[in-house]
Amino acid sequence: MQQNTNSKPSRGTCFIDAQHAHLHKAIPSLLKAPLHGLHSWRVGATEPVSAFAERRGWIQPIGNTVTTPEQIERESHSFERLYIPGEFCRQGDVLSAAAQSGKTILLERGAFLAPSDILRAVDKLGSARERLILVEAGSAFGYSDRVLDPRSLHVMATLGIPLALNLNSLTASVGVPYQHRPTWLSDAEFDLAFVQTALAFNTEYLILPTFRELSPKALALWIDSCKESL
Amino acid sequence: MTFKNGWNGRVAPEVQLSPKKLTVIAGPCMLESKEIGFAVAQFMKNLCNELGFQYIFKSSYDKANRTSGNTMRGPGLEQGLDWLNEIREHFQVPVLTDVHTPSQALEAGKVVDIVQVPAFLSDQKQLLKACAVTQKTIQIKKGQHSSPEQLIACADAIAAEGNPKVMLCERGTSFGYNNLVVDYRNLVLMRQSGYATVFDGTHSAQLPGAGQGQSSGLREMVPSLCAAAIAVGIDALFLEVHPHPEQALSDAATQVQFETAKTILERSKKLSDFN
Repeated sequence: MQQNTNSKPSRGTCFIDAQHAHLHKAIPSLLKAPLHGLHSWRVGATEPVSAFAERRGWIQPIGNTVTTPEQIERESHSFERLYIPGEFCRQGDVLSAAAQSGKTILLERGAFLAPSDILRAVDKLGSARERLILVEAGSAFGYSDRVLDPRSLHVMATLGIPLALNLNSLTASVGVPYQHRPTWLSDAEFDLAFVQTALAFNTEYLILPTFRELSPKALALWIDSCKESL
Repeated sequence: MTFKNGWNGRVAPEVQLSPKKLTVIAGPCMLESKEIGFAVAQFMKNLCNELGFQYIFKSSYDKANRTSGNTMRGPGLEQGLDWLNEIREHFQVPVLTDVHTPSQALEAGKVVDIVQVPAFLSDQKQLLKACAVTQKTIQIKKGQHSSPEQLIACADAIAAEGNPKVMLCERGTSFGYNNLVVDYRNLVLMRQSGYATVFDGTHSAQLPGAGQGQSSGLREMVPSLCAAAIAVGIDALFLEVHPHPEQALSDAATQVQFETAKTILERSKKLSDFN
């Protein structure tokens, strides 16, 4: 079923990395609608955009991670949603190109950025703010770890912009992990606490982990809380 | 052979990085004007000559990731590279600038001796790959959020593209909001990796976003931070220097004036001689 591709997704929607969608088979089909090609840190590890676009027919709409103005100009016609990673959340040229694309934008707060400073990045988007979803992906907490700060969710939730919570960033260690990183940081038992916190601050969307399933309890809570809007 | 993968440390005919002889990388944060660039290059070259340090000029043609969209960004790629080239020719010093996209890396690589990957973008492999292709020396700033292992992996990614000329730069790690700390253990790990190791003394004193729409900082900490880095052991010291820091169009709270730069380098001379 085709959706209105430029509209924001329904509250409760989960974003899933296309390459890891098999991890989330348990999620009801109504939740599977939008995909999001999560950024991969390894050169060449992501599926070529052209190949991905070819097989996109099985599920729509889709989004892609964007990191340069040239990429946005070249590829945005192939996607309905653009995901700007936290590292790029202040890059003026990337934000400007995303704003001009006319697409729905998911803008991740950089792990290094104070919550209130995201508003200055939002200002760089101009009127595209109307097509914006802010993404909370945690705050840097030492090396290879992020913490979910309720003060950040509070600040972001009061901006009047829909909010998504990136569970992948909160649970996985991106890239080469700090050699002394405790392994328990990624345990699924924390998923429920993350989802409970997200719901407490009216978070509308989840971005799911790419390295394991979401815990059944957390998923059940999310679906139950969002079923009316879905 | 001095550094990892057989690199001899040569960044330009005038400068060869070496653990035995400190190199100073210094210049204004933003290349605000040709005149300011010339003034800083003149002062720093003379100072480094006096103290027996090698000197590399640095400046940015575009501050593309400023806290606020309402602040100056710089002269832009074309004008900025022209001025950098003039400084290079006039003073016979290598020049360094930072890039934000693969296409910028390829353009800057035609002019500068060292292409710098900014801290926020330090994990971006497409950008690293483009930098590697220039065959110029590449300096990677460690992301404020990145582990030292991640930084070294990024250097390995550049080397794997056939460019062994990599410098690693410590510039502070996020420590709560609007705050950075320097983890000096990273300098030890970076040196153990075999790559050239640089310490950025002025950005390490930043308080990111703490200044009502701009970064603030603790300029008074810069000399001590630098002295500690020299004591631990580095191959190059990175400083942002401005004739009138309080009037600078970017990083006004952390750039140091000429006299402070002189004090820092004189102390560095004593410490590096001791080492």
